[in-house]
Amino acid sequence: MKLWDRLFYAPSAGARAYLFSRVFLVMVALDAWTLMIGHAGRYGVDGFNVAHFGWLDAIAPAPTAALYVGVLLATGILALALALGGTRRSALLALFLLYSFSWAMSMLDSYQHHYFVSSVLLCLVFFPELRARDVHAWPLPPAAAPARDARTKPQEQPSARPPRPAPRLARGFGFNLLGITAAILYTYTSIAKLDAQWRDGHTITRISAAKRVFAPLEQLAAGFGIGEDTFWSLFATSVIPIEFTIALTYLVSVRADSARSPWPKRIALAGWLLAMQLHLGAEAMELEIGWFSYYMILFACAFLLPARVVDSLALLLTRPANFVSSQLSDILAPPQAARIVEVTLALTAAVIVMLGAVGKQVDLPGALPACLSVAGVLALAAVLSAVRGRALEVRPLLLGTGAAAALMWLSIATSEARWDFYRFLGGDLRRRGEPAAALEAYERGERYAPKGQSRREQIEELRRELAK
Amino acid sequence: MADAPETPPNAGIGSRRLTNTFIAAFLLFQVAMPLRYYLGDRGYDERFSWRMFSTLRMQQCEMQISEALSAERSAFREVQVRRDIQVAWVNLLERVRMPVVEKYLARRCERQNASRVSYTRRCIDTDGSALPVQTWLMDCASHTLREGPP
Repeated sequence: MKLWDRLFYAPSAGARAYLFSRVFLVMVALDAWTLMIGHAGRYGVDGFNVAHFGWLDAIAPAPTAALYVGVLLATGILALALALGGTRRSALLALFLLYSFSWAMSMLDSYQHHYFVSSVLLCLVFFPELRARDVHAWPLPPAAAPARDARTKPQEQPSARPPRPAPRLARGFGFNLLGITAAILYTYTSIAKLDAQWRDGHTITRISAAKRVFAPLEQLAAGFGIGEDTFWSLFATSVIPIEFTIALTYLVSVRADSARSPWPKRIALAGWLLAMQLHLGAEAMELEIGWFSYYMILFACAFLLPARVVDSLALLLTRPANFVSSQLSDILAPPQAARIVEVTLALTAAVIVMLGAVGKQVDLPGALPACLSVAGVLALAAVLSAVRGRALEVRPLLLGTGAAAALMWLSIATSEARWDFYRFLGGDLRRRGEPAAALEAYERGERYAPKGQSRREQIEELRRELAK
Repeated sequence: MADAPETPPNAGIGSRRLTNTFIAAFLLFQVAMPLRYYLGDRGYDERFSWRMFSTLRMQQCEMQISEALSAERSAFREVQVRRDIQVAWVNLLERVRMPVVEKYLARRCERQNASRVSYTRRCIDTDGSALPVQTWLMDCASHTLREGPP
């Protein structure tokens, strides 16, 4: 049991779990809103669907574009509300279920990394529950005001602040479990590449831009007398030990902060270098794998970098979070206990109105019902908290949800999500011989067309076709 | 670092035994899901197997679906699949995602009053060589799917 306990219950720097959970939740929200929604028009076409699991086909409603969009919007709002307002286990569990339903409802979403994101969200439920001030003290320790000694040079003056203390440790088996899960993932990805076609280099040369991007390396190898086929075979085969080594470093990393030996830290750092090389290389090859590389880069930074470095990176989040909390202290922790319920209910009403307005402005099927559903759940949570005499506790979630709703509108309005949704939908309807519906989709999408990508020609063609 | 101050431990996670059971079940799931691919007969269904940049996905494949109507039992006619379902399903049909193949063939049986529906797939491997043609046939009366030509 000792090894088991060391693996799953060893404490790690709290900054790791804090940084990872907050950034990951923000990424999930943005991924759902700006990337996944664009493909929603595929769902429910002519009633054909196959869920990832047979039992889900039997119990879940048949997916439609509105259902898919609604689930994604609600997923994003919840993820961002938790990132901004603080994580809670029950809400994280709800997020895990909601997100998992978004991909499991149909095989149309077969991205493997969406299944991985679900695994991560389940681990997040069991992460240490940390607020920014648990990671970094707030207010900042007062600066010492040393008497300036005119005889010493400025750089020799005593520092204004005391040295930063060692990163605080935190326990939560979810963090360790996630590290081990990453090790399992990398092990399997290396095993998958053992097949002859991969090792021959045929597969990697067919992956989009690999040949172009790594052409200088190929030329360099040619200078050493290494032929093209041999180079690509060596290149592809080298990925296998790299991925396997990264897997081992994740296993070691969960012990890095609690071990007295420096070796786990050194091994983890070597893993970080390999992981960055692998994932930046994958991005350079322009692989169509969504944000998988970015998720894994976040993993590498949170798990494999030295604790001091992660602690410094986390400052980028904890400082603003602590500052905003202190500015909102009148709302989050009022000094007087008067009218707590009334203010909480007023805040709830304001957030509900905001959700309704955003749901209408987003202009996507399912957006308004999704926002109103989130509003309903929020109202229920607020009333239950008030009844239990804990009206203050729900306020961070309320403020987080309000901010998440505003950011959702902003990210959808500034991204090409709506344009993608309507143009893909229009194209598919036209292909399947539904010109009237295709015209409607194209016309709606035209409002969101980026410069130079107008579908005016298709619209005119469809109008002529319908006029006949 | 080992002597660094710790934040308060989490409360409410439950007993250690329950936690250990959850951890073991979670890990078993993470190991078993991809293992099903390698140990089972799931050749083209790479879901949950972490086969990133898989060779199978790099193959260039075309599939064709044809059906024989009940009235004319011998003649097969080609189905315009791209006009019938959303094009993303066509990609899954080309990848022989068997639950999709089965459901689509069954749908043709039900909607078009067909007696038999056939699925044929031709692929070029990543090294440029042609792979053996794959064919499945659904008998609409029994809704059974068997591998092989009509």
